[in-house]
Formats: sequence, structure tokens, C-alpha cells
Amino acid sequence: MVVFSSVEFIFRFMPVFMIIYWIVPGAAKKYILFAGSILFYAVGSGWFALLLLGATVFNFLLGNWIYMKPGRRIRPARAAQRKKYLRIAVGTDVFLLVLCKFLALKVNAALLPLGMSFYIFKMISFQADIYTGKIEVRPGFINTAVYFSMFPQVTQGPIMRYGEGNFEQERRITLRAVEDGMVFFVIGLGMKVLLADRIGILWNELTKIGYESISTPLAWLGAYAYSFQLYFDFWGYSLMAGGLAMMLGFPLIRNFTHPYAAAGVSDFYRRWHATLGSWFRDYVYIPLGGSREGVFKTIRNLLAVWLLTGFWHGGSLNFIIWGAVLGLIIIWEKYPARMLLERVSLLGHLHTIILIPLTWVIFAVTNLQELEIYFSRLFPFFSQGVAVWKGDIFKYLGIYWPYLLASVILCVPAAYNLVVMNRRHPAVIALLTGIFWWSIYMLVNNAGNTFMYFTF
Amino acid sequence: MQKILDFIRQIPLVAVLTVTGLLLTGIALVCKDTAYADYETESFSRPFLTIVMEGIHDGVYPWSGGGNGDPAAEAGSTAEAVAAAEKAPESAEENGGQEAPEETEEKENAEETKSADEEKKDEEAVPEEKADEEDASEEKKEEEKTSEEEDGKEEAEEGKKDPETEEKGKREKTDAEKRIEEAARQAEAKDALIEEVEAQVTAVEDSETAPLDKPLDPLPENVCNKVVGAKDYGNADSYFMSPDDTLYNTDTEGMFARGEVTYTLGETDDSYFEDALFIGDSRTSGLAEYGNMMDHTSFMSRESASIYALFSSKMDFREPGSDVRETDLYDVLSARQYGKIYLSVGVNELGIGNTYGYYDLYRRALIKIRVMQPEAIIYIQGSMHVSEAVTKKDKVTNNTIIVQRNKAIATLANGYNIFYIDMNTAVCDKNGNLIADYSGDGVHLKASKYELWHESLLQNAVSR
Repeated sequence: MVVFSSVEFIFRFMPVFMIIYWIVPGAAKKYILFAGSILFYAVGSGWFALLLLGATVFNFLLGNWIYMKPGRRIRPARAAQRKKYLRIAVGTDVFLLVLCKFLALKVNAALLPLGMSFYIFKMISFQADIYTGKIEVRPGFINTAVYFSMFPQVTQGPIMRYGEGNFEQERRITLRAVEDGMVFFVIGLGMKVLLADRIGILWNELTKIGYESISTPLAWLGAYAYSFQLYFDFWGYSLMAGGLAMMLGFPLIRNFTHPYAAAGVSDFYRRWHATLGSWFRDYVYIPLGGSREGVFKTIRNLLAVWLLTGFWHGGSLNFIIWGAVLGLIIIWEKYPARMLLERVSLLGHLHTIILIPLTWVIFAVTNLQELEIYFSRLFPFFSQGVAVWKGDIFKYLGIYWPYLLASVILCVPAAYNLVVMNRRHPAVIALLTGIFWWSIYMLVNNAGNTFMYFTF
Repeated sequence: MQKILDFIRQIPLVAVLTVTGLLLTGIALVCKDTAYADYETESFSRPFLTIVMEGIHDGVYPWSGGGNGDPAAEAGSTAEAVAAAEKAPESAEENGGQEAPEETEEKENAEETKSADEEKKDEEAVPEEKADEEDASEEKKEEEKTSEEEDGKEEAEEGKKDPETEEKGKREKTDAEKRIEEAARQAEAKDALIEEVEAQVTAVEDSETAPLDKPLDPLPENVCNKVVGAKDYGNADSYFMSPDDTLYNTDTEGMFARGEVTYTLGETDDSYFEDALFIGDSRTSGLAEYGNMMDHTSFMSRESASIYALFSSKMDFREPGSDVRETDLYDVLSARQYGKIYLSVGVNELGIGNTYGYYDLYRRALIKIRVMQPEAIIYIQGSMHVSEAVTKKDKVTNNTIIVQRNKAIATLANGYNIFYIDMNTAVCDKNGNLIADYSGDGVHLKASKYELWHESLLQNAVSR
């Protein structure tokens, strides 16, 4: 139920919750949303819901102690006290997250509570925004609790800021928002179920074959397939989350803005998982000094941000390497290659289209030895591969070309925008209806199937 | 009224989805005791309307034989087999797969053929429609065995018919007519073939002797491979197994009976496989692609192939020197005589029926192969085990079940022209688990390890 692309969520939780939420009067909506979100989270992760509640209460209290009406003159003692509370709050949040990530890595992966990386980041931004006065009105408990736990965002983000949620106003639901929310939800569902989940099978095939035995063309195809899988999985999720939040009366939070149309890797990461990127920018990079304190410190700050980004995604070494490589590419783009990239924008696009899939391979293959093998197949200069079947590329292209083609088309901003712009057009409505039921068909007959091992 | 319309106009997608959702729920409710009688009803994770989706997948529609608008109505043959097996796990027959989606196409084809050619109508469409109706009504009954002849026939026709024929039918009558005639001729020939094979299979079955009350003595050493055992972690789902004292070998006469002579397994070289055909699932596809055998051996395999749909579903046929093509086993086995037939299935059907049911279908498949390939040496290949991680975690894809099933099918070997070989010695550790390093997913060999299977085949061949 905790997965948006599941029959339980779409036909049980979502309609029942939405109808109750829409019916109750405006002032009561936030209570319903909080209760529904905790229920949703508890179904997905059991007792960890208590941890979420505990962290909520803790952060609410600390936030209130830190809070000060903006513009007021401040006594030095109070300033020190605020700083202390901020340190305690952020320190505790970071400690909790690092502890759970560590336990998950060393003891059991089940020890990382669902969505913790996301809600802890919300909590940290909440404290920082109160401290800096970005949150102007003192946040009440229910608003704070809804912000941390709201079910559209609690499992995988987007990492909305408190200020973006219009928490001080009474929620008003407009038909337009409900319709638009549904449009985004259906588009996201289709991306996840009809594209990402399908293409994901190709990546599994490569693992099955063993990287040492894939041909070089197939290794490249695999890199792109994984890139598409990740993109449509996460963009699809983000659209569904965004759509749901709209149906609840929140503004749309954009997490993806056509990253593959980016002119360079740093541009890519302004468009990819934007709420995470801007979080690191606002709460790590800029507090460290950003780019204002000379080249050396800028490089240091960039590397720090990207190593942290790597660590945030997972504790194993490949994620750290992934973050470090991205940091280095971004530094490369910012300094030595800057002039060149500005003059020839094609180079920036090539950067995106070629380098990004390669970095996703680092992201995907957690075992370093395997990673080395994969790269030796991508660039077969020093090794031969074992039992490579030269015809493999044709086999997999033959099977997956429709999904890959659809993916490429969706990477073009105009294609997606055409659908969104014309979302009231009967043809688009028909298309989305088809996508919705086709997705449900796939969900029912694949995931819902007791015999999951059919595809051998 | 106007208000409602205005309201709907503001939320068109929400309205359409709500209406279609209610409509599907209505359909499911109305047909829950007829078309969907065999489906699990409402539960938290299974709203009524999902039944309609499952039905489309299995080829079960609320109305009989009509087409449906869902572009995704693709049916995997194994899934169909499961639909059948779920209904009749005990009495499931070979070819349990229900070819209903193809039936639908058939009917559409038949209907369009009607409009294309009035005169052909009676000869062509009516028998097909009749078959459709029969099948459709069959699906509604519980524990119904599917009619093999009909399945085979439809599938044959499906394979031969060119969809373009129907599209251009109205304009190019004569062309369409010719094609239809040709398709009909081919379908008739296929019908006749299947009928003949069936008759012979029945004759073989009729001639079988009564079941024994104790197991036969084992075959002499080296006549067949020993069934490789595996450590039992105690987590196998006994639903898919049979009692340990089940008797499998039932024949003292007929094709499975032992003769005076037995042959032993020994070493050979690659030329041995030149007149061999390997039939199997994705693992056999892997052997074809990575076993260094493609240039001298024929393969007939398909991902998700199982004993349930061995003859009813299409597979990829690879012959040395020609492209992969999709066809069925009737075509391949009737096209030429092979010296050796290697059969390797068993992992996709682990969650279907029990060991006895599997054995029974396996036996029938062997009879069918024998009828079409009277001279071939038949190799029953024991299913490859899975890795320790998989068998410990998965109570269905589990070595305990695999070993029991391998033991069951091994009894079908007669040491004369049917042999049991087991490649697990080449790829398993001392606990009988597939070595983790040899597999990316714990179930399939990595490409670089298929050579071990190839080697094992080279070491275990009969020369007569």
C-alpha cells in the first residue's frame, strides 16, 4: 500500500482518503492528513512510525525554542541559546540518520526506516529555515507534523521546504488542482509501470549474464537502459507524489525538469532530483561559503557536497566514488572547461548524454570488482571478456527497442510538454485513460502475481 | 443536469477514470459467478475490477470470445498454463495452456474473413467459431481439461494466417481468397498431424501396463547419471511436492520399459550434437547463446517454457546457419528426424501442481516426442539447482522440490533409448547448491559458465 504504483494504494487508500479529505471542512483537513499519513506510514513500516512521531515531536519542540519573530532585536544570550538549540536539533537529526544508515549497512538493511533520508532532510531544513527567519510565522504542531509526515512525500520525497507548503493558510481544494493532480499522477504511474519497470528487466538480464560476458555494445545499451530506468522510476514517482499533493491542495513541487536536455553535468543536477540538489546547496554548500571564498574553497565545498550526496544515497564505496566523480566533473566544467563549454554548447549536451549514463553505472553496480569488469566491457581496451556472444545486442535491442524509443522521446522536453499543455484535450484524456488502465493491467498481472518467477 | 455536466467538464480525467473504474467493477460483479467463477474475489489487495484485468491476461472475458480494447492483452503461455493448473492442479493435462487470447484473434479473423468472402464463410468461420465457443464454455467449468486438438488447431491456424490478409480482404478479394485457401490447407495439414500424433499417444497410453506396487530395481551403474541431491533447509512448500513414497515408474512394457540391452554414458565430441535438438526454457536459451554449441546444434527454447505449455506455446527455434524463428514443437519435430533430443525444463513449473503432476506431464511429453521421433535417443536432463541464497529464501524455487522432481523424471529413463543426465555435478557445491559465483541471479548460469554444462554434456553421451 505504501507504494503509489500498487493496486492497494490506487483503489483503496487513495480514493477513500481523498474522499474523506475533500468532504471534511477546511480547518479539519490537516488533522485528517496527519492521521492518514501516520496510518499510511505505519502500514508501510510498522513500529518505525513511532520513530517518525518521536522525531516530529522533538523537532517541533526544538523548532519552537529556536523560533523568533523576524525583525526583532536579539539579545546576545538569546542568540547563543538559539544557536545551541539549532546545533542540538540538527546534530540529533544527523546522528539519527547516520546511525540508521550505518546499522542498515553493517547489520541489516531493514534497519533503515522507510523514507528516513527524506524526512530527516525536511527536519534539518525546517530547523535551519526557522533559525534564519525564512519561516516567519511560528509553526504549530499539526502543521509541523503534517509537513514531516504527509504521505505523498514521506517515502521518497520530494524534499519540500516548509515555506513552500502554504501551511498557514486553510487548505482549499479546487477542481482544477484535483484534475491536474490526477493528470500528473497518471503520467507518473505510466512512466513507472510501463517504462521503468519494463526496462528494468534488461538490466537484470545483464546481471544474469554476468558483466564479463556482455559485448561492448550491450554494455553501453545497459548503461542507457539503467539510466532510463532510474529516470522514469524516480521522475514517475515524483510526478505521482506531486499530483497527490496537488489533489490535497498543495502546490506542485517540481523534482525533475528534463535533466537529459541539460547543457552539462552541473546543469543536469539542477534539473535532476532538484529538491535534493537545492537542499545541499542551501544547507551545505552555501553555509560552507559556497563559491564566494576563492577557487580553492569552492572546490573544497563542491567536493564536500558531492561526497555527502554520495553518502546520502548509500554507504557502500561505489556511492562515494559516484559522488566524487560527479564532484570532479562539475569542478572540471566550472573551471578548466568553462570557456569551451560556453562557446560550444553541443559539448555540454554531449557531457550530459555520455558522462551521466557512465556515472549511473557506478551508481548501479555496488560491488567494486564487478564495477571494474563493467567498465572494462564499456571500454574494452585492456580486456577481452569471457564467453561474449556478439549477437547479444541484437537480441536485446529486438526486445526492448519500443521501451527505449519511448524513453528517448520522453527525454525531449517538447514531447512531455505537449501532453501537459493539452491535458484538457479529449485525445490526451483518452491517452491518459489508456495509460492508466494499461498500467493497472500490468500491475495486476505482474506484481500481483503469486508466481513471480515466471520470467526465467 | 447542466451542473453535473459543468462539474465533469472541469475534471474530465478524474471523471473518465471513475466511470471506467465503476464500469469494470460492475462487469466483475455481474460476471463473478460466470466468467470469473474461478477467480479469487474481493479482498483488500484485490478489488473486484482487477479480476477483469487478470481475466484479460488469461484470456477470460466477460463475454464469450469477443475482442477487447486493451492493447496490453498479451498472454504468456506459462501464465495461461498456470491459470489452467490452478483450476486443476491434480488432473492437469499436458498442454494445459489455454490459448484463449489467440482464440479471440481467431474469432476476429474469422469474422473479418466472413465479410471478406461470403462464400468462404461457412467453410472457414463456422468451425472456428464453434471451437471458440466450446473453449469459452470450457473455461467456465471447473477442473476442465482443455482439449488438446482444439488448442493445437487454433494455434496452428494462428501461426499460418497473415493478419494483413484480413485487412486488405475487402479490396483484394482474389488475393485474400488465395491466402485463406493456403492458410486453410496448412491448418488442415497441421490438424491432421496433431490428430495423428494424439491418436498414437493415446495408443501408447492404452498399451501401458498396470501400475507397479514397488519401485523397479535401479538401472546398472553408468547407464544414467545419479540424481544429484541437495541439502534440505526445511523450507520447501510441500504443496508443490508429492509424498516421498509416491511410485513413479509404472511401466514394464512399452516405450518406458527396459529392454534386454542397456547402454552406458561416456565421453564424446561436438560432432555428436550435430543431429541433436535441445528443447528447454531460458536456461537452454542460455546454453544456445553461450555454450559454444550454436554453430553445430539445434535449439528450441523460450523464456518461461514449461512442461505445461511445451507443445502449445511458440518457442525460438535456432538451427546452425539460419536465423532464429518462432515456431512450435509439432512443426520442428515433424520437419526432420533428430538423432538425439535433449529436454530440460522444470524450474518455471515449480510453483504449479505437485511432483506427480509434473512427472505425469513429463511422461506424456516424452511419449509425444517419441511418436514424432521414433529413432532419437531422448535425454531427460535433470533441472539445474538454484543457489543457496535462493533456496533458503524461496520456498518454491527450492532445491528440495527440484531434487524430488528430478528423481521423479529420472525414473522415466529406460537405459536403452531414454536416458537421465544431470549436470548439477558440474555446477553445484557439496550441499548441492548452485555455486553462487556461477550465477548472477541464483537461478541461471552466468554466460561464462555455460561451458561447464556443455562439458558435462560431452562427458555423458550414449553411443549405440
